[in-house]
Amino acid sequence: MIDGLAYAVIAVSLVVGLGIIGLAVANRRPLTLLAYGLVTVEAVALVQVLVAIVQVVRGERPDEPATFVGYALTSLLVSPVGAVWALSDKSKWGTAAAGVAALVLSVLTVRMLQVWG
Amino acid sequence: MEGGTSPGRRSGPSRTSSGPGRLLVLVYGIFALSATARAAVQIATKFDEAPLAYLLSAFAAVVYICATVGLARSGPGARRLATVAVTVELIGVLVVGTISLAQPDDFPDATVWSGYGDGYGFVPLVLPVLGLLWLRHTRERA
Repeated sequence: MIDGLAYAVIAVSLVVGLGIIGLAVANRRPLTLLAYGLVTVEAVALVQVLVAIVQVVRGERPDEPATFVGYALTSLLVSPVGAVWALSDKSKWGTAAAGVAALVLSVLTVRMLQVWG
Repeated sequence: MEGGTSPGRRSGPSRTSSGPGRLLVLVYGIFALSATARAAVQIATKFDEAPLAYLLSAFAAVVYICATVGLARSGPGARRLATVAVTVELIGVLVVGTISLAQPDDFPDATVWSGYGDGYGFVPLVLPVLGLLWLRHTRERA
């Protein structure tokens, strides 16, 4: 893990997640904008995992390998799967749930930093 | 009225996965996934250190999975499953939370429900209350 990258990932997750929840509160549902935001979240999650893979290949090891792998896989899957499921509900609650799905990446990233060591 | 406009929906109890339920099921799903992963890692790598705590983690994971499935699906069977799971969850977080504070020696390693879920922002304590309120709300809105 690279601290600076992790903080950037957390920032993207927070901005996109809170932004989507803000749109939900305002009862708005701009699907194109939501898609851009959610794809951005997934892209930074993917970059973070790829960087970790490179680090492991170069000989670094997380303190808790099994837990780290679990969080890394979850970080790639939870936001997109959660967001797609959330947006299949047409109400503002569905939009808000997509925002929460994006926020999950920030929690997972904090945990990944902790178990990396 | 928001949500719940799927075709073929009959009158009767409204779906627990629509509207606010969509958000509730998402949070339950996240807890089901993380509790399952955590219990799996604990039992696979260091079961001997705290067998009771890790078995409890596994039990909590099953409860969260049942609650998620019960709330996400519609029908009386799913509603019953959700009600039982969420009730067990509330009892579990209250009992385990109390024991973990009164007898910390019994819990050398944390579970989701230790300290009333303080390691998870007390979400494990709030979630079953919201779940039961939501189950009641959707039942009344027939």
